[in-house]
Amino acid sequence: MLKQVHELRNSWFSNLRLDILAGITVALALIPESIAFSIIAGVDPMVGLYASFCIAVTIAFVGGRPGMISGATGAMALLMITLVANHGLEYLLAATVLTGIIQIVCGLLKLGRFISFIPHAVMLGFVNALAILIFMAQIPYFVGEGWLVYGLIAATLGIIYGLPRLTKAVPSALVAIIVITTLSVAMGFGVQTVGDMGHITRAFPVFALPNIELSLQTLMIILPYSLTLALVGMLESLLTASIVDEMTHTKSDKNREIRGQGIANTITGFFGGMAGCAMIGQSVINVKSGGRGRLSSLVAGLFLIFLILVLGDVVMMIPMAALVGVMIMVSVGTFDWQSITNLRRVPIPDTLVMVSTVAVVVYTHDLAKGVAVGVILSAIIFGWKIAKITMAEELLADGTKRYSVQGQLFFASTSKFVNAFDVLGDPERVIIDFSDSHVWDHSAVNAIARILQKYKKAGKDIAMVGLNAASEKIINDIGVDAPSGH
Amino acid sequence: MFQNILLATDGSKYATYAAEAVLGLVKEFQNKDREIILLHVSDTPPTRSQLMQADLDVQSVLREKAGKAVASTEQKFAEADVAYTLEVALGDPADGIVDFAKTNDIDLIIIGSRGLGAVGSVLLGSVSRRVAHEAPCPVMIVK
Ligand SMILES: Nc1ncnc2c1ncn2[C@@H]1O[C@H](COP(=O)(O)OP(=O)(O)O)[C@@H](O)[C@H]1O
Ligand SMILES: [Mg+2]
Repeated sequence: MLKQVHELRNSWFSNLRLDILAGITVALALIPESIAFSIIAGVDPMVGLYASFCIAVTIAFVGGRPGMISGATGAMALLMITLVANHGLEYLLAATVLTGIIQIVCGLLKLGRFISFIPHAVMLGFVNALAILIFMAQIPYFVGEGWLVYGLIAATLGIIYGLPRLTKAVPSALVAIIVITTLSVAMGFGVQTVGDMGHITRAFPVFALPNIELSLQTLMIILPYSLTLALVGMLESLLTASIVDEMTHTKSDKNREIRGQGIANTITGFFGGMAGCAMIGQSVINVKSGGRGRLSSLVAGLFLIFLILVLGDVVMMIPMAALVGVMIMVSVGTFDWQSITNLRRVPIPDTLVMVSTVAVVVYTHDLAKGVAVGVILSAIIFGWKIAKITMAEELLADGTKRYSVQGQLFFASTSKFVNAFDVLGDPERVIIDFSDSHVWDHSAVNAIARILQKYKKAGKDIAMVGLNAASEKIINDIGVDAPSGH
Repeated sequence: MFQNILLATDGSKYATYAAEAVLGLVKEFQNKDREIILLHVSDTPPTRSQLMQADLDVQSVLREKAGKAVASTEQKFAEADVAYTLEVALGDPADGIVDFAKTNDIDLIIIGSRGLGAVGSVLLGSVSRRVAHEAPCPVMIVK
C-alpha cells in the first residue's frame, strides 16, 4: 500500500515544475498537427483537437509510458480518409470506439510483442507511403493558388527549418504559424484559412454515443478500419515508447500502454474525437523540455483545451498555407530517405515489397491495402526463398551413402526432400546429414519418418546425424517410428 | 603532449581544487585501472524503419550510428593501443553528457571547445558551455 502511494507520487509529482513547463510546450506543438490531420482525414478541425485533448488527458492516467505524448496523428488520420468520405463522421467515431476496444483486448492478452513481426520492407513501404500521402493531401491547398500562397508556404518552411539554427527554445512550427497568421491578418491577404475548413467551437467536448445504427452491417463497415487503426496505433505507440525509454533511461509497461491507448481511444470516440496514438515528435519535444512524469501529458491536454477555449477565433484565422508548410515538414521528416540511398544495397525482393506497398497505397489512397499487399508479397517471397532446399549425395570410403540436406525442412520443401532418396539403388548403409538444415514442422517429421520406414523395409541401415537441438526435439516429440498419415 | 602544464592560481579555494586536480591527473594517468569512456549522444531519434529492423532495440541503432560518427576517434585509440568503452545516449547532447557523468561516477569530462556546428568566431559551442556549467565534476575543454 505504502509502496503504491510512493509509486503514484513518483510518477505524478516527482518532477512538478519541469512537467508543467514541458506540458505547455507540447500543447503548443499539438495545435498545428491536430488541425492539419483533421483536415487530412476530412473532418472538422475540432475532431482532431478534441482527440488530442481527450487522449493526452486519459493517457496521463492509464498509459504505461509516463512522459510519452499521444494525440491525433497523421498515421491514423490517413487510415480514416475513405471511411469519412464514404460514410461520414459518426462512423469514424464508432470506428474509434471499436479501435479502442480492440486495443484494450490486445493489451489484456499481452499481444504487444507480436507487433514487430510485420516484415521490415512492408514497414518501410508503409512509412514512405505515409509521407507521400501526407504530401499529396497538401496539393489541393496550393496547386494553382497563386504566388501569394506559394510565398506564404515558402516563408513557413523558411522559418521551420531556419529558426532552429538560431534557437531551439520554441517549437519552430508554432512560431512559423504565428508569424504567417499575424502577417496574413495584418496585411489582409484574404487567403484560405482554417475557418474555411470548418468551425472551431470554443467549448469542451461533450459525451455522446456515435449516431449510427447498431447492426452487423455497420460493424462490417467499421471493423476493417478499426483493425488497421488498432494495429498502426499499437505499432506507433510501441516505437515511440522504445524511444522514450531510451531517452529517460527507464522502462515502460508495454501492455499497459496498449491497454491505455485503447481506453483513451474509446473515451475519445465518445467525446467526438478521432482515433489517435503516440506521437514521436511531440514525445521527443516533451522529454527534451524536461517532461518525465504523467503530469506532463495531463498538462499538455488541459493547456490545449484552454488554448482552444481562449484562442479559438484566432485559430480560425490561421492561413491554410501555414499548415501546408507544417505538413510538408512532417512529410519530409516521415519519409525514410535512407531507404532510397540504400536501394542498391538492399536485396531486390525487399525493394520489390517496399515499392509495391508504396505503389498500392499511393494508387488506392488506402494504407491498409498497401500493408496487406506488402505482407502477402513478403510471405510469398519468404516461402519461395525458404522452400528451396538442396540435397547433396556422396559415397563415403566405407561404402556408406551420405545425403546432406541444405535448407529449411517444412511442409513446402518436404516433397523435394523425399524425392531425393533412391531407396532401392542405395547401398546397405545410409546416413542423412542435417547439419545445414532445420526441421520445422509435422510435415517435415512425417517425411523423415516415411524415408526411415522405406529404408527399414528394404532392410537397410539408416541413421540421422547433425540434427540441431530444436530439430531433435520436434522429431522426438512427434516421433518417427510410427508415422501418422502417409 | 602534456609536457609543460600551466596551473594558474590566485590562491583561492577554487585554485586549490585546480591544483589538486593537476596532481590527481598526473597520478591517475600512470594508474592502469583508469577507465576511458567514449560517449556519443545522438540528437535525433532513430527512424521507424531503423527501429523495426533492430526489433525495437534502440541501443543497437544508436551504437550503429555512433560507430559511424566516431569511427576516426576509435581508430586513434586503437592505434595508440588504449582500451576504452563506447557508450551511447539519445537526447540533447549536453543533457546526455551531464546525465551520464552523474549516473556513472565520472571524475573528469574532456570535451572539445567547438563541434560540428562551428560557425564564426564564437569561443565555446553550446554543448561545451552547458557541460561546463552543469557537470558534476571537473571539465577539461580542449581548444
Ligand atoms: N552529440 C554529442 N555527443 C558527444 N559529445 C558532443 C556532442 N556534441 C558535442 N559534443 C562535445 O562538445 C564539444 C563542443 O561541441 P558543441 O558545443 O556542439 O560546439 P558547436 O556549437 O561548434 O557544434 C565537441 O567537441 C564534443 O567534444
Ligand atoms: Mg554541436
